[in-house]
Amino acid sequence: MLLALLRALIGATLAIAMTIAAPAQAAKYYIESKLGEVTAEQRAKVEKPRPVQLIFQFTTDQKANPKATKYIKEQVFKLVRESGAFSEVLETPVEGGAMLAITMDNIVQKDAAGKGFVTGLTFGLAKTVVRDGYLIVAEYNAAAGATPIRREVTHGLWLTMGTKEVPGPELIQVKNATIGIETIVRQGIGHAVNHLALDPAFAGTEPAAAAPAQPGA
Amino acid sequence: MNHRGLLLTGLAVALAGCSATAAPPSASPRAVRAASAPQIPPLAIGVFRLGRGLPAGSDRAVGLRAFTLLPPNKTSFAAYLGETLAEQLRLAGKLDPNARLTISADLIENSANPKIGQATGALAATFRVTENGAVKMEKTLRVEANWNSSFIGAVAIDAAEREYVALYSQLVEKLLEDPDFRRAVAR
Repeated sequence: MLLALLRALIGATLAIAMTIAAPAQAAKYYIESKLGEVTAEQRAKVEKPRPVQLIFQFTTDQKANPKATKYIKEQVFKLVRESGAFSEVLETPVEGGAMLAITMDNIVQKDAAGKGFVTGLTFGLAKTVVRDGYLIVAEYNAAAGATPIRREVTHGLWLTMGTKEVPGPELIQVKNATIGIETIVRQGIGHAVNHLALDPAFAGTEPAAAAPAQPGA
Repeated sequence: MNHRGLLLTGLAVALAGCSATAAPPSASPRAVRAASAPQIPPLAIGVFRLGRGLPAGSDRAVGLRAFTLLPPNKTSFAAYLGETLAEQLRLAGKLDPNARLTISADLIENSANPKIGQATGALAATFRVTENGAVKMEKTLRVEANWNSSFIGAVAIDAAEREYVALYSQLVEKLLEDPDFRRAVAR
């Protein structure tokens, strides 16, 4: 079950892992270190948090992936609730009409499976390095029809086979793919929502119903 | 894990992998936004069934090479289309079983062919909007997908499942954004 879920979440690296014949310890997973966790100093202080409807979708190459969405949806809701940017986070419409839409797209490296096959044929002797890219897009509408605020964050999961070399300077090794993807979700969603909350327009946008009347209007 | 452990794990995965159930429908931000528009009123979901042109039972399972994909809740893929639409309306606060207008559909095309090389999939349905039994709109909408399909079965099946299931969201997005549909249901 876990493998099937991971296969839904991780396109390129698991394609490799599924096609290898080398010992499992030969596979090494890394995540990119440039984002890191949202620190207390970085975290936005929202003075008047408002309720929001959260719509989350995981996609693979920009196409809906319900299996992966189901797997990480609860983690995403928990992260947004813990961000402190909103007073309440619901799946259904909220008073004021605020909506936060988050998509997490897995950009699959096209030749990953072929590389894995070669690695498998050579029992792990052929060196293989692949990257699963993730693009996290958070878009916030303070009310229906309001100008949206949009922020994007990128992250990456790497897999190496047949080599002990770390494939780049800004990578941190993780124990396995599960921990790698959970860390990417936590860091990616955390930063995307925090970037939204840091935008001056985030605090300044009032729901349409609560907006004060313009003089002379 | 040693080689023997890996082999046993692989065998277990292979045996268990002959069929699987598609995940329940999930949110599509694009569809929810379309359904959230003020001019879209609350809507009821009617019958989603297999169209006359398709063989009986052909929406009960989809073959992806040596793998069978089943709809959630052991229903049908026609029902899955209705459930996908219902989920977007629910999230937009527009799903109401007692609504004035009802949406129903006949599934008239349902295919996935993950052959090695260029794979294809397509989904089409004739949607109807009715009010007290009177048809206000009837329109056929179709979506399709083309993707590179690996010669490695496990990789190809994963890709085919993703591409095929994604068609349901795409068709619902197309319906909710369709100008004729929006005109037919407008408040």
